[in-house]
Amino acid sequence: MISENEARRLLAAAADTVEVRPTGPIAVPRRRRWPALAAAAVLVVVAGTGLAFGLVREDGRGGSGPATVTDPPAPVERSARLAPDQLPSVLGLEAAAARVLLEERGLVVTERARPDGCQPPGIVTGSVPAFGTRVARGDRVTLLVTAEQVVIDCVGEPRWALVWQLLAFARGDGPPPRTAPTVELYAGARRAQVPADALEDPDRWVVCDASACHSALAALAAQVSTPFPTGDGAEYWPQEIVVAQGPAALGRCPAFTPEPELPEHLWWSEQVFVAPGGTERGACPDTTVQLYTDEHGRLAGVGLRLRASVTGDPLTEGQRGAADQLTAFADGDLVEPVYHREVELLLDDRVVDALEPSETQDRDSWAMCSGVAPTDCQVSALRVLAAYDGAARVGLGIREDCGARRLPPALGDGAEQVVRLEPPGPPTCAEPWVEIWLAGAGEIRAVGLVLPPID
Amino acid sequence: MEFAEYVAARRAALVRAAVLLGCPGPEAEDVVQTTLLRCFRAWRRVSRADRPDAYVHRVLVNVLADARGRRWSGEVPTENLPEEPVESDPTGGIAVRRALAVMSLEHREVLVLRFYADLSERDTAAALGVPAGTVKSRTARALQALAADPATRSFR
Repeated sequence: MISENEARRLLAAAADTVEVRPTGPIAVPRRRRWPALAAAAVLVVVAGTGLAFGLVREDGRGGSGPATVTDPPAPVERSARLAPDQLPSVLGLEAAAARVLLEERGLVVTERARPDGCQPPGIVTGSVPAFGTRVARGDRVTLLVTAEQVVIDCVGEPRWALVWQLLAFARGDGPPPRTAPTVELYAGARRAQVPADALEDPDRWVVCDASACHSALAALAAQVSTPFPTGDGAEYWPQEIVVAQGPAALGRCPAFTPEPELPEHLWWSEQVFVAPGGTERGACPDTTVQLYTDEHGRLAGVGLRLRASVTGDPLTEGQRGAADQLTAFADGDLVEPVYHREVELLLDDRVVDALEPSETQDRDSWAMCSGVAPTDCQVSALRVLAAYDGAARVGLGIREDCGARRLPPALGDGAEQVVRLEPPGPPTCAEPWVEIWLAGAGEIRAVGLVLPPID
Repeated sequence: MEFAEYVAARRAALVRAAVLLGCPGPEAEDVVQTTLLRCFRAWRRVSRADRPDAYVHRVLVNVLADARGRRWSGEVPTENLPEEPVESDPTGGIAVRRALAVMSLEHREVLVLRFYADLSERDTAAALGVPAGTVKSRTARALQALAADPATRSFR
C-alpha cells in the first residue's frame, strides 16, 4: 500500500515531467463600469475564446431612488481567513454536512440534540469547543443540533427556516430561499429592485453607491466566518445567530444607518446578525441584515444596515476600526490600536503630551493632569472610555454642541479625521468625552479628552 | 486573492493537473485557458469561498469531460511518453504517468485531485460531484492500483 505522502511525492514527480510553456500575463477581460446613459447591453468578445461578458451598468445617480445594478463590482464585506488548525464555523450547516467537514480534518464528532419545536430539525447551532479554537487531529468536537419538540405554536418566533436558508445560501452551501417575484435590496441609503430569478446569482445581491458596494449576503458570510476571540489566551466565544424583531436588541450598540423608505408591503422585518453568544462584550456587529417577507412568507426585501455615526454618516472601515480598537484597549484588551508614529495626547484642545511607541502599551502613561487641582493628575482618555456604561455614541468631527471650541494646533498635514466617542445614552455636555484624530489610513495620530465645561 | 494573482501562481500547476488527468499535452494549455476564463466570470464568488482551488478544479474536471466527449475519440494520455523511460526517468515521474494512463478515469481523478492538487476529500467530492464517502473508497482503491503497478514499484 502507498501512504498519502508517498502518493503526493509520486504525483509531484509525474507532474514535473510535464513541460509547461511559460506565458506572459494571461489575457483577462476587464470589467468596466458603464455610465448611466450608455447602452445597457454591450458585449465584449474575448478574442480566441468566444466567451462574452456583459458589461456592468451602474446607475450613477446619488440619492435613494431605485437603481438597477447588474454584474456589479465586489462588495466591501469580505469573509475572514482562518489558520488551518482553527475549528471552522458550523453555524447553520446541516448536521451531516458539518460532520463531514470536521471528520475530514480528523476530528471526532459527537452530536448533542437541542430540542426546539420552532426550529427546523438537524441544523447546527454551535459547537464545543467554539468556532476558531485551535484543534488537532483526534480532538473531540460536539455539535449542537436542533431537534424536534412538540410545541403549541411558534407565534412571535423568528422565521428560522428562512434565516437558516439565507445563511446557507450566503455560505455557498444551498439554494436561495423562496422569494417574491421582485425583491427590494438596499445597503445604507441605496436601493435596488431585483427579479427573483436573478437572485440565484450571489453577485446580483450587490448594491453600489458612488463610494462602495455592499452585499447583505457577503455581510452574512463575513460575519459567520469571523471568530470571536475572548482576549484570554486561545479561547473563543461561541457564535450565535441573533434574530431581533424591533430595535431593542441593538440598543447598546452605536447607531446603524436607518431603513430607507420602502414600499408599503415591506413593513415587517427581522434583523439578523451573528454575535458572540453568552456575552455582552463585542456584541455590536458592523452590519446587520434586515429581512422582509410578504404575506406568503416569501422573502420580499433584504437590507444591509451599516454602522453609522450619530451624525448619520456611515463610518469608514478605518474609522470604525480605530474607535473599536481604542475602546477595546481601554477595556483591557492586550492588542493595541494602530498608531501613526507617536500618539499626541490632548486635553481640552491643548496638546499636553506625546507617547512614544514604546510607551503606549502602559496605560498609566496616558494619564494627564486636569489642571483643576495640582494633584489631579490621573485623568485619562482610556479611563473615561473604560468607565462608559455601554457602547459609546460615535460621531464624526469634533463636538460643537457643548460651547465654543478652540481648535488644537494643527497636528500634521491637516488631513486628519476626527471620530468622537461620547458617553452612551442621550447627548450630554456634563460628562467628559473622547475624540480620536486619525491619519489618512485610519492610524491614530492623537487622542483627546474633553472635560465638561466648568460653569 | 485577485484573479491575476491566482493565475500567475497556479496556471502551470493546472496545466500539469490537466495532463495527469488524461488531457493530451498539446491541448492542456487550451483546456486550462478555457477553465480560467470560466472561473473569471464567477471569480468574486470563487475568491470569497476561501478555497478557490476547489472551485477551479471542479471547473477543470468539467471542461475536460466536455472536451473528452466532443473532441477526443478515446484517451491518448500516453502519446508523448517514451517507450523505455527508465534511463531518463530518475524520479519515476514518467513511470507514474504511465501508471495513471492505464488506470480507470475514476481512480486517476481522485489521485490527481487529492494528491497533486491537494484538495481535501470534501473538495474532491465537490469537484467530481460524488459523495465524500465515494472519494474515500475510490482513493483507497486507486492507491492500491498505483502500488500494484509494476512501473512505479522500483521508485518507492
